[in-house]
Amino acid sequence: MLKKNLTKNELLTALQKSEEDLEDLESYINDLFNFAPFSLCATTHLGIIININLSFKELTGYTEIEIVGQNVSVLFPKNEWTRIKKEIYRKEVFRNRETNLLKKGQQKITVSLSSTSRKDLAGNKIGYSMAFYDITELKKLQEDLEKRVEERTEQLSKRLDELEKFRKVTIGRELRMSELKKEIRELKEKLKNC
Amino acid sequence: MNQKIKKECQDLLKIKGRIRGVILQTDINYVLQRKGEEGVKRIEQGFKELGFPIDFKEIKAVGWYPLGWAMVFGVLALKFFNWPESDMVEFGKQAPKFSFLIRALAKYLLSPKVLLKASSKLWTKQVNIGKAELVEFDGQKKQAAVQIKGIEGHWIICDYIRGYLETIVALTLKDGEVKVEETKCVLKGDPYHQFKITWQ
Repeated sequence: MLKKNLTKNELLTALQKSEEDLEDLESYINDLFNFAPFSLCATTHLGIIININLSFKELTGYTEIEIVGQNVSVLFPKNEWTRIKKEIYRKEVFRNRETNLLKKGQQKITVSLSSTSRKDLAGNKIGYSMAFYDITELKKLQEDLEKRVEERTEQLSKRLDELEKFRKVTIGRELRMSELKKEIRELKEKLKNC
Repeated sequence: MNQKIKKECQDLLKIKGRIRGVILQTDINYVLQRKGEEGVKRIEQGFKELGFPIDFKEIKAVGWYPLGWAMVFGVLALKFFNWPESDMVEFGKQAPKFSFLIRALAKYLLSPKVLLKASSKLWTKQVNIGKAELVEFDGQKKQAAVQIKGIEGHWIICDYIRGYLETIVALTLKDGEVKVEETKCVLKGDPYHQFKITWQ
């Protein structure tokens, strides 16, 4: 807080200090924004992209020239955007929603999407911040694992059926052998008594 | 660099006024995306030949720098890369896409009215000479006029502002076309620059 009745020099010093602080803050925010290992984009309240970070560019292939000024809906398949839009505009915050994203060139990837609305000091919505990271490989791994588990389960099931059949046949044979042995014993007894 | 370009640049460096570093950074980023690191280094070399050995990486977004530097940057880019003069409008159009100031001031992007009413404030945040003022606004006809006083006339400034206004107003619309026309110009003897903005 500035005290009253500052001299000109004091004012200039205070101004210079504020400018330096602003520089440091801008530098810090910029570094953090571009360091973030997940893709970030900020939009206006109408969904127009106004800011992207380095990870966003690397993930999607878009540059600032190409994507800033575009509606964020271009990043999503139409049917998915209709679904997500409702959630984004209705909820203050949502996290980790699995959805498809369209890279430059329309290649589809699976991402985990989180979004939060941004407000000014008066509480008016002024835009949205979105973060996503690529889970395509993770999904593929998950699907592969599920497929392998399914295949293995089927194999085990077949094996179990085979064993069951064998058990029935074996037990049946055992029973028959017991019966035959008993018959033989009875016949031997009869012969003895003849 | 030939003598004609050198003379033009040296004249531009005499122009009064200072701008925020963010304006230079946006120009540098534009050249970086079109011409890569080599393109930016070429312009850096140009500044060195003019007696200003600037390291563009040292430019701070919130720092103040001579207005002439931004104009020289534009001239050197057009000359070195054989871009047409009409590309100066493109410089202005792309600038808001790289500007951290625009992102930080998202509260002004709610509508053309909110944005243009804040012209004066936004101007003084980026330029320390002259002033900008919204002088007409008609929401029904979707048109407005912004006046800029107190800066010198030069086609680079006029084209750059034209492009800048076009993009920044477009950012307030969901999807709409914006046209900007300079209706008054100091170069033509008018007392100020005036830009008519229309949108769909």
